[in-house]
This record gives sequence, structure tokens and C-alpha cells, in this order.
Amino acid sequence: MNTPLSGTGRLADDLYLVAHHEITGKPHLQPRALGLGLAGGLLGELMLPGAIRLKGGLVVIGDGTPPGDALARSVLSQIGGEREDLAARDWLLFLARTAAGDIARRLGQAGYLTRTAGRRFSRTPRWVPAGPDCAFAPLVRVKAALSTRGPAAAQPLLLGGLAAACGLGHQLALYLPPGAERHLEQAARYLDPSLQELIAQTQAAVDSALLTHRL
Amino acid sequence: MPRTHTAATKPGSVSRALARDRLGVPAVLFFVMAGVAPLTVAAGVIPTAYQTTGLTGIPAAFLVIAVILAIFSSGYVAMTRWITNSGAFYAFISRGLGRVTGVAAALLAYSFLQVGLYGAFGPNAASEAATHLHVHAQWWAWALGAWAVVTVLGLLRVDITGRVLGVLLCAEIAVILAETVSGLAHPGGGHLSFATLSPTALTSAGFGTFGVLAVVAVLGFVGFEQAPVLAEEARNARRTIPVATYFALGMIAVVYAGASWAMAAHAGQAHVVAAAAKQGPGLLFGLGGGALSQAAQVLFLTSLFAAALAFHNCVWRYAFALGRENVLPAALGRTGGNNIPKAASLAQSVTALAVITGYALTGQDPMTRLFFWLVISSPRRAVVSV
Repeated sequence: MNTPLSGTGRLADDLYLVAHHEITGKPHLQPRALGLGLAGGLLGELMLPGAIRLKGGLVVIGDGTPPGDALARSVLSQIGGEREDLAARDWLLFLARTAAGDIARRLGQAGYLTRTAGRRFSRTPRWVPAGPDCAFAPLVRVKAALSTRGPAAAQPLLLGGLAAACGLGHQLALYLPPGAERHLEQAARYLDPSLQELIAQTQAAVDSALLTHRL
Repeated sequence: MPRTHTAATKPGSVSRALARDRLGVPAVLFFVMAGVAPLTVAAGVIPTAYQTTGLTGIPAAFLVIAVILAIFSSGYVAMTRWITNSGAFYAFISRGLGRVTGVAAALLAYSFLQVGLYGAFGPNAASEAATHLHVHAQWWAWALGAWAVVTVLGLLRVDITGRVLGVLLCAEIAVILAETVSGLAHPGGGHLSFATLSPTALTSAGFGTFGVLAVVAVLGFVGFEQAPVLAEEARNARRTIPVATYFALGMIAVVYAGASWAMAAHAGQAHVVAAAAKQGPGLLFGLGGGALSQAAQVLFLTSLFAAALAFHNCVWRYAFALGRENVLPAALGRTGGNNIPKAASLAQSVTALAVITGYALTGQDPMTRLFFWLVISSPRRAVVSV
């Protein structure tokens, strides 16, 4: 297998892998929740290097260097192309429509997912992890971030926070040591406030979808 | 990158894309009417109401209550503009009267309503099965069977899809209207009486009559208040929600007033109470001939089941929201695989099981004591809280 366990290094890619079964590729979430979580991941990929910021609940362009990959650049140019600054919730809902497919294709290009023919009566192709260890690795990264002494790196904490926000808490509870969820919540408080807000906005969007029967 | 912050003169691609995903009046109306479960009321509540109250002013009550609720709705939907919270009823009541009252009013009302529906499903399924399939089982066996299916579907979070609910809803309304027309075309005594539609019927047995009839009529409208739940998802909340609410009120009023009038006209005003006691839901089914009657009976069972599932889903969403806000234990606010709040779903299932078992063990009549009492008492609770 030529794909390293360290993954692509991209937040949304890791979140995608956590959100799907490491062998069958079946999602652990309802489609809308998955989309919203991955949308949060895409926004997070731009927020970590400072290419965008959250200001008063609105997504604004920042001064940081944008990431190199095509999908992140495309999201950034969409944000930059709008006439006015839109609320984080609007971007989450907008990106949620296409996030899963886009990220699956990105992972496919990087060799972490392979495309298989869909089920007999379904036209959509299924993406299956190329190897279960690589699919499982993001959870190991979250666990490692929680066990380090001293301040943990932002990306694995953000990954854990977004995973919990879109409804993967039960997955985290299965594979992380007991008490890890609470530890994650506490550690997340040391994240940059705008990253914490991203997690909160994602959670609010998912809960709202559940309550309005869209989920 | 410089960015102008002047107001956009036309919506950008994001707003357009999001607007396409939003719900219009038909979608909201379908959602509301599905929760109203018209055949459940027309065949379940109305005959039982005739029988239990002994009063004949039910058609008039529907019309009067529709007007009163329309006046109430103007304030209710106006609140949606200020309080966009998917808890709707709970959110409004808790702003006014405090959280605890909000919980009691909304959650208990819907919870009891949901359990009460098994009290109608059980005996009617039992009699249908006995007549057509020659299967003889107690009402509670059928009720528990329906309970088991709802529990499993509720844990798998399988909602009856909007399309199926839409088809069932249209069929129910069509059947009720057909039965109504048939009943009005064959009035008892040969001549059609409008007496039960007149306001004098509202005070036929003294002033308290109106109170009793009002409670029954309000029950028919339960579900119409759900439109604001979808306010965040509506295309233009200020217009979509009120329009859907008033439309729903109008439809409900016409359908139920018509059906209850047809029942009284067909049986004769003096005999309708006795006929209701004897026939139960058959009071509606018997308005039409063989095939129509049979279709109505089958749809009645599907309507009850769909309503039980719909309200089950409504209750666990409330419990989930309250668990998230820590008004109820936080465990109810957690989701498991597939974003299913299993604890919240199970909590309602356990409540329902306890109530059904209690009624089965004490041998009380399910239609009048489980269905009518629990389903009637819930809107009374909600009305009192408001």
C-alpha cells in the first residue's frame, strides 16, 4: 500500500474517514449531517492557516496563505466571490450540498479511497477505503493529541470537535479511551475562539436540521 | 483582498442555492396536515365524541373553534418572527411562563397524544382482523404490535417518507369527502337538517355544553400549530408559515365540520349519539357503500399508525431539544449512530409500553378510556397552558 498512515494532512479528509466505516465505506451519519460536518471541515481547512476568519458570525477573508489543493482553493474563491460576507451557517449549508462527493474524489485522487460500482439499483458509485488502517488512522491522531502533555495541536482537536458536533460522538466513544470525550471538550477550550465558534456553528446546524425534520 | 461591504443588490449564488432547498407553502402544509391525521379524527374522535359527550353540536363547534384559532394564530405566527426556535410551542410557552411549564405543556401533551393513538389502533385492528382474516386477538396484542413496529422504526430513525405520507393524506381527505357527500345525500328521515351546524346547538344542554364541545373541536385541530417548527427552513418564513397555518385551519374546519354534520344528518340528530355508541368509527364508514367503506377502514388503520409514528418522532425531537438545553437529562440530547437520539426515542417507547400495559391489565375500554381520554386531555393541557 503506497498511502502513508499519516494521511493527506487535510482536516476534511480525516473527518470523512472518521465518518465512514473503515472497511465497507458506509457512512455513520445521515447525509445532511455528514455534509454539514464536512462543510465545517472545509471551512476549518481555510481557517487553520488564516485564509478565512470568523468575525461576528460572518465568514471573512483573512490574510493567511491559502492551502495548495484545488478543492480548498475553489471554496476560498467562492467565499471571495460573494458580494457580501455571509453567515457561517449559510456557508455550512451551501458547502454541505456537495462536500461529501468533493472530498471523496479528493481522497480518491490521493489513493485513500477507491471507487466501486454502486449497489444494483443505485446509480451513485460507492467509495471504499483503500485500506482499513489508513481509514482508522485519524482516530489514532485524535487520541494522540489528547494524550500529549502540554498544549495539543489545533488540527486534531478541531477534528475531534467537528466529529462530535456532527454526531460522531459515539464513534469517538467506541475507539478513544474512556473519558476522552470530556477531555476533548476541555482541550477544545484552548483552541482559538473562532475555531471553537466553527465547532459550535456546525453543531447548531446539525441539531437544527434534526429538529426541523430535515435530518 | 479588498471587499466592498455595501448591501448586495441581488442575491449571490449561495443565497440562490440555499433558497432552492427551502420549503414552500405546499411542503409546510403537507407536514402540518400529516400531523393532523384527518381520518384519525374523522373516524376516531368524532364518533367517540358523539358517544361520550352525548352532544350533537360538534359540527358547529368545529366552525366556531376554527374562527377562534384563526384569531389565536395571528398572534402565534407573529411570535414566529421573533422567536425562531424549532421547539415552537415549547419555545413560546417557556418565554411566557417559564421553562418548567413549557416542558409540561408541550412534551406531555404530545407524549399522551401519541400513546392514546394505540388505544384506537388496537381495537380497530382487532375487529378488522377478526372480520377479514379470521384472526382473533385482544386489542392490546394489536396495540403492542403497532408499538413494537413504531419502536423499531423510531430507533432506526426511519420516517415514513414525505411522499408516502403525502399520498396517504390525499387518500384520507378524498375518502372523508366522499363519505361526507354520500352521507349528506342520504339523510336520515329523508330531509337534510342544518340543526347541528347552527350556533344554538352549542348551548343545547346549558352553557357548559360549549366548553365540552370546544375541547373536542380543539382536539381535531391539534397538529395545525406545527408550522412554525419549519420556520427556519421555510422559503419566506413571514409569509409561508402564516399562509400554511391558515390554510390548514380552513381545510381542517371544512373537512371535520362536513364529516360530523354528515354523520348527524345520516343518522338523524336524535339518534346520532346512540348510533355512535353502537358503531364507533363505523359511523363514518357506514356513510358510504361497500368499497368506499372498506377503503375507509383500511385507511383508518394506516392513518392511526402513521399518526403514532409521526407523533413519536415529534416527541423524541422535543425531548432531544430539551436534553440539549439541559432542561431534561442530558442523555436525551445525545445522538447515536445515524444521528438517532436513541435515549429520547426509547424514553417515549417505554412510556407508551407502560401506559398500554396498564390499560390492558386494568381492563379498561381502549377507545373511550385510552384513546379518547389521553388524546382529549392533551389539547386541554396545551390550551390551558396557552
